[in-house]
Amino acid sequence: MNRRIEMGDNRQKILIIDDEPDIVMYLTTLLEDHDYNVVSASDGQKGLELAKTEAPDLVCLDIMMPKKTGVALYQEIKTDPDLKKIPCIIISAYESAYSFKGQAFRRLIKDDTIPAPLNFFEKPLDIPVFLGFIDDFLSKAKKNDT
Amino acid sequence: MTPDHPKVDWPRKALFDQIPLDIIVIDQDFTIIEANKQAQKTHPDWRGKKCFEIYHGRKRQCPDCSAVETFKDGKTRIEHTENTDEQGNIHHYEVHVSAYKDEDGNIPYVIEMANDVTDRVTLEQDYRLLFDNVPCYISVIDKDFKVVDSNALFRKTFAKEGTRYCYEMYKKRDKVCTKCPAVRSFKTGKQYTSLQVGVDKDGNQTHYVVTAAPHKKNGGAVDHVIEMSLDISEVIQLQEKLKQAEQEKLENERFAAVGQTVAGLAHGIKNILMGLEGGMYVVNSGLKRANNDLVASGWGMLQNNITKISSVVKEYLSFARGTETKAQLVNPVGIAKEVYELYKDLAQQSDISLVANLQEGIPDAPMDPEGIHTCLANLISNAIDACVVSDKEKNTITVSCSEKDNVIAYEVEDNGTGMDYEVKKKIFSNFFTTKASGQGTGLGLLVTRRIIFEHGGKVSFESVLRKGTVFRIELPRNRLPKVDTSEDNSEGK
Repeated sequence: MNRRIEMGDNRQKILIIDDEPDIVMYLTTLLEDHDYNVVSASDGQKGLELAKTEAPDLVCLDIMMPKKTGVALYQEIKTDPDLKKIPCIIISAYESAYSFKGQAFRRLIKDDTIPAPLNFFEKPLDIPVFLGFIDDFLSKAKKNDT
Repeated sequence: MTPDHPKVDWPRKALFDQIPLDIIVIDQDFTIIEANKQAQKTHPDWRGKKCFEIYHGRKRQCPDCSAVETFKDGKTRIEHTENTDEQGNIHHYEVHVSAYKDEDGNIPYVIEMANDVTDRVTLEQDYRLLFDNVPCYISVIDKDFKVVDSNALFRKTFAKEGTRYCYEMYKKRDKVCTKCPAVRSFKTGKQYTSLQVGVDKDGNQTHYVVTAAPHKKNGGAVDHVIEMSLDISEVIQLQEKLKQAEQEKLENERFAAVGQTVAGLAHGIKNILMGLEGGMYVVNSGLKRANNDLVASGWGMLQNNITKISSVVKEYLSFARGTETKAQLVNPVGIAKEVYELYKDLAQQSDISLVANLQEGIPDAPMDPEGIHTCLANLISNAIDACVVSDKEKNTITVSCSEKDNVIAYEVEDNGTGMDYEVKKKIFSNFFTTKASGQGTGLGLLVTRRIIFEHGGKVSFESVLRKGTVFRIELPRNRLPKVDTSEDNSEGK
């Protein structure tokens, strides 16, 4: 949290990784309106770099992306000692996001030591539910932090 | 006993006793006056007995006795008789009945020589049993096509009362059938097999495979032909059912394709919907913040997603409309050539060499040329995209057309980026695109698969990440659609 004080920005930081510029624009505006500091990447590779340099409080990941898919990126984050504590949520349209829970997720990620993502959200987003979850989670995280 | 009965003395006596036949001599009263050793073996108490007593256990002369006639005219006769031994076994005999004439030409005695033909008769009976019960129709016909012998199954199935000729029986015709294998068999002395449709006694259509085999007596000219027919009506019925099942399966596959189209469309629309919602949100947010740049971005998002949805809807409509396959006889290689020519330069512009590997001499096939053209164009266009984003120095795409075992196969192989597990998993089951926005609706492969389904074929692929991908279209000839003639008819009108 030191970095944030240095930067003079007390807002919690959310990293959005999605190859669809419209989605990035939408989520950035939405989350900024709700007082979050948003950084974004349009592919998995850039996303991983930003996760390292920006130390976000939360990552919102798309599944289907060029260069590095959301699932591969998630695996890398969760196996990197510096990054693995960063909470991740998945936002996806190409399959019912709910099917990513449990078995479907385990079929994609065979490593049992990797925990399931914090949550899954299906596109188009149900905004009150999505924001409710993020606000709730990050406010709890902030409390624990302080 | 007559005193001057023929003297049987040595060596005649020896011959009489050694000959492997039962020989007895009877007088005009049918009393046995002499019996050789072989005859004595079975009837040791023959002396003074009548032949009908010993051989048939009768008290009176047999009603159809050949000896009676031979005593009258002196002619030799052959009769067939049977009797039962003490163990209850039936024996069959072939009996030669011949006259013994004295110097005056009178016939005081008759000699009966009985050959035990039980083995032969049993064998004949076995053959007859086999002949009658073998599960195929057997008839033996002479040169006039008259049935001179037949087995029970044939008679039961085909022989109506009053019919004599094979064409009457098999086909209820009044003259020899065209393409008759028996005619050829009589002519050449060889065996022929052919598929025929006949009519049974009850008027039911019967499908059978007939084999006409020549029968030559003494190795000379063919005097009879044996027709052996196997009823395959059930097989034909099964074949029809199988065809129907295949058709139903094809229909189901088509329904499944439509279902997946809807799922694919829903996926595409979900993304666009989120883009539209986002656009509205960003415009509102920009207005609230009095940030014109943000308003402009949101407006751009709205425009972008409205363009997208209109192009998806247009493509979907053309996809939905184009479900009718208009098949015509075309050359499979010709279509591949056309698409190759069309894409050769385009590929070259992106520094990709497009190679055609087309098998010569593939016969024409009923296909929708436009449909197949679309499929190949889609696959080649995808392959070009996969090569463009690949980091290889030299990219090649090979389009091939071949035929093996009546299956026409098209292949489009590239050494582009290849696909990873997730892309492979989703490539057909749920339609999506990996291309940047505005570069594709994700309907291309779905359209391809739908067209190939309509042709009764399948689309498959193999792909290795960073190595490349090969898409394969397989079209079994027996599942291809029928040539569409509706257009010709309308032109005719």
